[in-house]
Amino acid sequence: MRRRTKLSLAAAALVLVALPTVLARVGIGVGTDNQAAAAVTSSRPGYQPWFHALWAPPAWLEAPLFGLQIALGLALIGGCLWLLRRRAPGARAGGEEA
Amino acid sequence: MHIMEGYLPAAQCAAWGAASAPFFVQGVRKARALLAEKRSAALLLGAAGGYCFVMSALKLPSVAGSSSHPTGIGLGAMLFGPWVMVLVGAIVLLFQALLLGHGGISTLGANAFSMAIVGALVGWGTYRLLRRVGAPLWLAAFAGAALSDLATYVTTSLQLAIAFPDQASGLAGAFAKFLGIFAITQLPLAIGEGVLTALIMLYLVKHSRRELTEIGILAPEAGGS
Repeated sequence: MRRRTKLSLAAAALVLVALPTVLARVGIGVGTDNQAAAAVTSSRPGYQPWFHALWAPPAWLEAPLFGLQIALGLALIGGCLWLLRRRAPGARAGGEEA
Repeated sequence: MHIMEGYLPAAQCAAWGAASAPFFVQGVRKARALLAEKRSAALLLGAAGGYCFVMSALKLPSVAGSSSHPTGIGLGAMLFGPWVMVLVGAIVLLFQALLLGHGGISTLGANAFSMAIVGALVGWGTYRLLRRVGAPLWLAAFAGAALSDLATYVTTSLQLAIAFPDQASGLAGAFAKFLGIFAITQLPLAIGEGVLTALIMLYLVKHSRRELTEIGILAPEAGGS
């Protein structure tokens, strides 16, 4: 893979990982999950969830954790595709069949 | 599409969990068989799982001032069939419930049913149907991923409507209300997921022909698209 391609992919990955944090700062509107919860409580005034999360991140940490999930996913994709290319016939010889 | 922790009655949480369990067991069996019989497909499955991780964490703005996220289930379902993606989807949902406080443990069965089961079955079924009638690969991949995404949110709307029927208009009224929340927001995101998935499928055809042939996506001597 050419150096320029590698740098472009790395930059794209960084943008994706940072995206949740950036969008949280900019404001992307109310999530549909929260809208649905609000609809439930408006149709059933006084409804209280019968079970609460054992742990929930503080608000400031939520977006970076989504970024972490993206980073884990990208690492998995990158690692698997890299191994696929290495295993492909002709890869060692620099062929394009990978 | 995540139904938040405690936002379904306990009995319905148990019912959705029980409904999802056989699919999960089948997913484990299929994944083990796939990895045992077609070892070279393992890397492709890993990449599909990673794609699901990335897509389901991408909360994006949409129309009407609201935001949501794609699911990423469709791609893996089209490549490996629906059962394996039940397992992958459940892992993603468990990760989000435990680490991100997104979704919930009590609602895991319901969320798995909508995203990992219905989403995977619709994505796989759409793709197979369109390919059988001669649709090009890119179109089948686009429709499979987009409809998988939308079907997930339609199912979530139905689950919430069953739990909280409207006191005046009943189940149908509540279903329409929750669809209004989820479907309008999701439509542009589903189209985006469809386009991205189609591009990835075309990339895979070009660069992972051997693995796609092994898992039956491409015929041994066919062009594929």
